[in-house]
Amino acid sequence: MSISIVTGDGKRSSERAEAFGDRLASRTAGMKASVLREILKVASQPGVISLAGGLPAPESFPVDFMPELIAKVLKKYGPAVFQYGPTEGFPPFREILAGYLAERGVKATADEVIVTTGSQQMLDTLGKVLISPGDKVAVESPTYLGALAAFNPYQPNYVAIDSDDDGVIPESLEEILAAGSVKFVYLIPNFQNPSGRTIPADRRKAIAKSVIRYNALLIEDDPYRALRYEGNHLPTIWSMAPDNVVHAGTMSKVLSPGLRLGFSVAPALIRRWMVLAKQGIDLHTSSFDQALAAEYIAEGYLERHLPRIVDLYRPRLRAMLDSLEEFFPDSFSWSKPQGGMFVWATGPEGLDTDKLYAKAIERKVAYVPGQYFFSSPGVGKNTMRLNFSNVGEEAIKTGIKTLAWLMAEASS
Amino acid sequence: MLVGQNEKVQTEQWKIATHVVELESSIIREILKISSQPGVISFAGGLPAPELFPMEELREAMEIVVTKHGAPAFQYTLSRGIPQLRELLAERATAYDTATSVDNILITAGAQQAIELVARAFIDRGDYIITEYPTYVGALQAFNYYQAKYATVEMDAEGMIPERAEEKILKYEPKLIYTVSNFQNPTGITMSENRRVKLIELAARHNIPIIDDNSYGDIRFAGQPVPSLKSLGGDRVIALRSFSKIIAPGLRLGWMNGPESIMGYFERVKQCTDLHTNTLCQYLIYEFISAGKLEAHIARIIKDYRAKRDLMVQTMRDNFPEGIRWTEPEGGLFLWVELPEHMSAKELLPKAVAMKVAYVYGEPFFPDGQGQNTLRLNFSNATHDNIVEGITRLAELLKENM
Ligand SMILES: Cc1ncc(COP(=O)(O)O)c(C=O)c1O
Ligand SMILES: Cc1ncc(COP(=O)(O)O)c(C=O)c1O
Repeated sequence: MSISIVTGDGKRSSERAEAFGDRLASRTAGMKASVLREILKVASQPGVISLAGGLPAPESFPVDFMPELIAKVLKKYGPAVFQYGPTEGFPPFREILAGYLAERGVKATADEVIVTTGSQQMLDTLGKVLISPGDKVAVESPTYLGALAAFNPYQPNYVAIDSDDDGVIPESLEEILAAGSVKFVYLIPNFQNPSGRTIPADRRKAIAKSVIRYNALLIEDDPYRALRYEGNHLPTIWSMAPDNVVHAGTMSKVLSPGLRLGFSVAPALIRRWMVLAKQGIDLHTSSFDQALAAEYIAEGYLERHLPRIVDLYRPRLRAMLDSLEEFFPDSFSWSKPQGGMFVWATGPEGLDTDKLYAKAIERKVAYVPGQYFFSSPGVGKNTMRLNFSNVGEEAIKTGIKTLAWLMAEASS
Repeated sequence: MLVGQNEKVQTEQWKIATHVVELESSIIREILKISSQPGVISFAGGLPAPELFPMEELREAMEIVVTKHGAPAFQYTLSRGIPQLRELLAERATAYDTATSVDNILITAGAQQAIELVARAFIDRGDYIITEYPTYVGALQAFNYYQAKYATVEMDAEGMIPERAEEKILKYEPKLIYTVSNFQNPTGITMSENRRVKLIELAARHNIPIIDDNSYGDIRFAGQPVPSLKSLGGDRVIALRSFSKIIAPGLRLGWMNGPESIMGYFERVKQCTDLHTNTLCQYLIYEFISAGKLEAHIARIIKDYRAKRDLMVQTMRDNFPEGIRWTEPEGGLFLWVELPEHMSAKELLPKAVAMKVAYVYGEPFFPDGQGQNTLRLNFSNATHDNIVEGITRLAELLKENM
């Protein structure tokens, strides 16, 4: 310990402030600057066609509705939208959400819905209340990076559930649950981030059966459900195992991610602990934003706007799948999602998409190397995630063509 | 109590993380429920006065946000917050506190989240924290999750007593010092300049960060301003700030101002917890302040709260029985009452509610559950008539139970 007195101006303190580093909690000191962040930084350089991002298109936001919507909110709710509110959520928003969720078979009362600051916070609070160091958490392989980032500080051990083109294989999940002591299972059933895969109805049924049989807890993280461009909606896992499933959704893909609004329905006890955790984390989610979203749904704006989002993304997905078909080498396969924001491509064994990244940037195109989405190191080196939501059709075509050339060269 | 016997059994079944099972719901929330019964005059909450919210100015700012910024105000943004607002806050901090750059600033979902990020970043199970005695209950709630232990330091009219703090530092080797230096919640006490200097010297000698939860600093309605801990201690101090009391709490916006070398950690922790603070409200506040509306608005708040505090204090002087002491804060939202030793504010609360007046008893603010004879009164959220009527009822209750 250094024995020295700081002077009033604080000028000499910076080098000792470094020393606060030794005060950090073990969970924090171990957090490294994310490699992925560097990748995304490079991807956003001007002139680069970025298939790396995970952002909704800015033109998908209903900015044109906003003046009207804001005026309605202020008139209807007045100062209440600027005041502290309940941790569980702004009551009119929870009320509306109950109806909105019922459409997907999640039949909950307003009291059973809790609002979180994005679904990211749902993942964080669940990690916080459920995971003790060393606990087993079963995840898809690959899975959402933000979920791993949310759970990691609580130091779980991941168990990877085997998947194929139809998402998790129920038998693999059954085996993992049978082996026992899994704290919870984390799944993204629709147009998964990063793989674009959707779990078909029969598998959902089998998964629901397994979690009931083993009295397991499953988190059904469903941000992309509404972004379906083909085919029919599938039943939620919650609808088949309501006592065992936390179902979570978000306004990020159908209204605005900047508002940070997520919502979930959870078994009573889990819900109560989540609320308790949230009290300490941020008291509650922005009342104003919740009121905005409540009116957005209640006054029919969502219903009017969602088709516009679907019409924006459908041709982008089409352009990506067509370009992959036209240009990519035969040694590659890729997912063919009916919705969402991502396509997942797998190259031949031995390909290293992380190593190729620098070359791709030289050629002004970016993607996310797939290995970052796996809970175990060294897996998925020959995979990549391609985003189509935030890129126009022409750019998608150009980007995929360039990548195809690079991949052909690398895998020949 | 939120968790009943039955649910305890289920808890084990669902295997909640061991450190969480021991937590209880905030008692304050329970008290607030009781006190929100119809007809009850409540001094229990900590809400700003809603009639002071700058509705028209916020509406105008919102219009500017939508027309001038458009889509970016609705998009995901950086975990540290939008650059415009951070820039603005850095400029203001440079003007009022100490040289500050954007790299010192991180936007949070209120000061509550700033405390949470501090807890996450610093606290390992069993680590000690220096706190005032009593302290902000929401901070205890955030720290409890990480199984912190508390080395508490008594206060007098000038705030935390430095000699006591030093004893505790030597004994417990705490990770950090958490203080609410201005118009403390719950006591209303402000740390004197002399004490601030001493605390910084102490922190320097032992190389311990000072976390200054400065949620109320801008709301001074009497006495002389005291330099902030940040302006005196520079990088020794991580300042936690909030727009909740000076604009509107429902927006959930606050910020941290800390040493550049440590902000990267807070950024990563913030990203894991909710990616970033809501973009729209960041733009909203940026435009509100840029339009020059903040200073005039704070002046309005100060005027209003001063009158309410004066009225509350005067009514107490006129009506409270001998043997009761209270603080007369120079700012903030709360004052603190000490009853004679033998009295329990907790036991009196049901009687108070029966007489249609409510307060928060002091125990939750003491990490060791002491303070039976104390209670907190909020004056920001009551009308003048209710202040007179409520304090008169309370005085009656106290007289009957002395
Ligand atoms: C699977 C998944 N879950 C959660 C999130 C976080 O979304 P939100 O903006 O609701 O926090 C995302 C965002 O990309 C996601 O892909
Ligand atoms: C001392 C103190 N810190 C932090 C907070 C949390 O406020 P917010 O998160 O709204 O900024 C409060 C609220 O009452 C408080 O009194």
